[in-house]
Amino acid sequence: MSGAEPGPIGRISRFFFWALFGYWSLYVLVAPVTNIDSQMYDIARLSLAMKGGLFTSPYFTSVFQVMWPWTFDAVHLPFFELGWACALPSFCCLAGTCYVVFVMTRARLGADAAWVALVALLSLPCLIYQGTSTKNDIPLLFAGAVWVYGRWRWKHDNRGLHLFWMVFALGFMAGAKTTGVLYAGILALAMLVELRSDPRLALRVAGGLACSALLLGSLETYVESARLFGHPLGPPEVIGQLSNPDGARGAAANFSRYVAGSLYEGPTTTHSASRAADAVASAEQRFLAATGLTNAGYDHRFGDGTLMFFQSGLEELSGFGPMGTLAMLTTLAACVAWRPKAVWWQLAAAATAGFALVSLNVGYSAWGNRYLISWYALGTLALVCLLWERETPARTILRKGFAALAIAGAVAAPLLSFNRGPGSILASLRDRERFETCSYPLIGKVRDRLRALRRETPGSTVYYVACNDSLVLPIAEDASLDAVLVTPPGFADLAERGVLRKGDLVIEDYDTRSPLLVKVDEVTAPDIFSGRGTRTQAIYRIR
Amino acid sequence: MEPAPKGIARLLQAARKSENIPYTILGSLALLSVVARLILILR
Repeated sequence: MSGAEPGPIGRISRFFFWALFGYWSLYVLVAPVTNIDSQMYDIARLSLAMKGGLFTSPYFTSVFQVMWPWTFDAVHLPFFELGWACALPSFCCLAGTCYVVFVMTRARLGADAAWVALVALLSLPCLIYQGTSTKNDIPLLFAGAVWVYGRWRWKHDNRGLHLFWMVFALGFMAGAKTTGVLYAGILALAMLVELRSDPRLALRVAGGLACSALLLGSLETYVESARLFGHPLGPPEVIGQLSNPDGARGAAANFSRYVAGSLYEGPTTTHSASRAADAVASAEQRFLAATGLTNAGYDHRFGDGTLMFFQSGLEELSGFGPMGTLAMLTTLAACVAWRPKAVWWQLAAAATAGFALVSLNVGYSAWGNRYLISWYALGTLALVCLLWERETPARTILRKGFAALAIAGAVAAPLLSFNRGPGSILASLRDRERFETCSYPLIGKVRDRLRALRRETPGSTVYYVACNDSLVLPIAEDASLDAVLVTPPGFADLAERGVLRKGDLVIEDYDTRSPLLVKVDEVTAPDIFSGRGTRTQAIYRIR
Repeated sequence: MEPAPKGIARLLQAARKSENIPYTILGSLALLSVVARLILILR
């Protein structure tokens, strides 16, 4: 085992870790909100809530802006208002997770393993992209890390302070994301079971959990969802659409898709893959057909007919690279090798349970890799433990190979992303407005065109008839447009009340087929998701 | 002998210790979240 001071592997890994940490820090400080989901709801709803609050707000245009818990999304408010460092909360979560991993790994396996483990985490593309975005997935990993860290320190010095932070972490986890409620519930139960020999302490912890849920659990979004949709989790049809509808069959199918999706065959785009990646997807389709699991477990909007495993460099559509393949293999090894006393096995078994939970609860979609970041991180750390927990000649060689792969992956992660390479830092400074819509350039071009058309008819109002999946943030935040965002019923109501005036501008993501509308222009822009490579949006005026 | 810090001073002193970094990050994010949510709810 390495000591407190790192050897050559540790020193090299330490250098790359700090170099990349510095790079990502710079990126996080300058990059705007580029994430598609954030422009639809995560951050978009902050902009809308600043106008009309949360309860009974007339400004929300998507059920997702109300139904998802927002404890972590709300953290972005000051950065969003400032216009800089919007992804800093996620990066703080990543940094905090790295600290926990480093301290606990160094204490158990030495400095070499600790530094290599950190670089290995940075080599998981989806994890580092989430850690430098405005999405709400990485806080689950961070809250889990704080919980583990608190428990570890509590075991060492028995101070109640650590129990306080464990409880606090679970409240934060539950409020950050709906799936966090499930994980927080499981960890809370584990805590109470562990404390059962001290009922008074267990009771205090239970009380703390209740307070933590009240303070950090985003209860207000559940209350508003229940009022609007009759269900605290959101419209039942939407919940059903996003969940695994097929129980154990769906879970088995999803797990097999996650295993196949972990195999790395090189980068892909967001709509096409290499022949090797296509071959893996075809093999998985045949496996699912042979086992009678075709289309089982899917988010209703997707199906096995278009199954593809992405390594695209986009935060939601990226896999976990070659390190992810090794992490998954280590995770699966826990299913066939019974080593309950080995730390690597415990981590791998926890990762397996995590993959199984996601498979059971979340409907499969190509956009779902971000649900897996915690489990890939655990699988990666399991492999570090497997390599470092005993000294053998073979392990000495494998450690070097592992460290080299981790460094190569960590360096490649920004370079293989279309919006996180060094050029993106320059673009954030020089061409910020265009870079903001780099994931979906059409909305940026539409915004430019609307500005020009509005200049032609001063005093006209811009209406955006938005659907659940509309990217409303770039339009809502443009002061020169001062756009009115409405849902189709809201738009119909405005028409009926005679609020719409001749010459007003309208864009719509629904086809309302309103006889009031006359097309005045059509904007086409590059589109990374479309097979055609472009996407078009019509702009109308009120006749 | 210097008196032991109390209240916020004690909290800040604890937050600066490196072993408490994860707690400091979590506490800061949670505090921001509570304040921001209050602002947003009360708009």
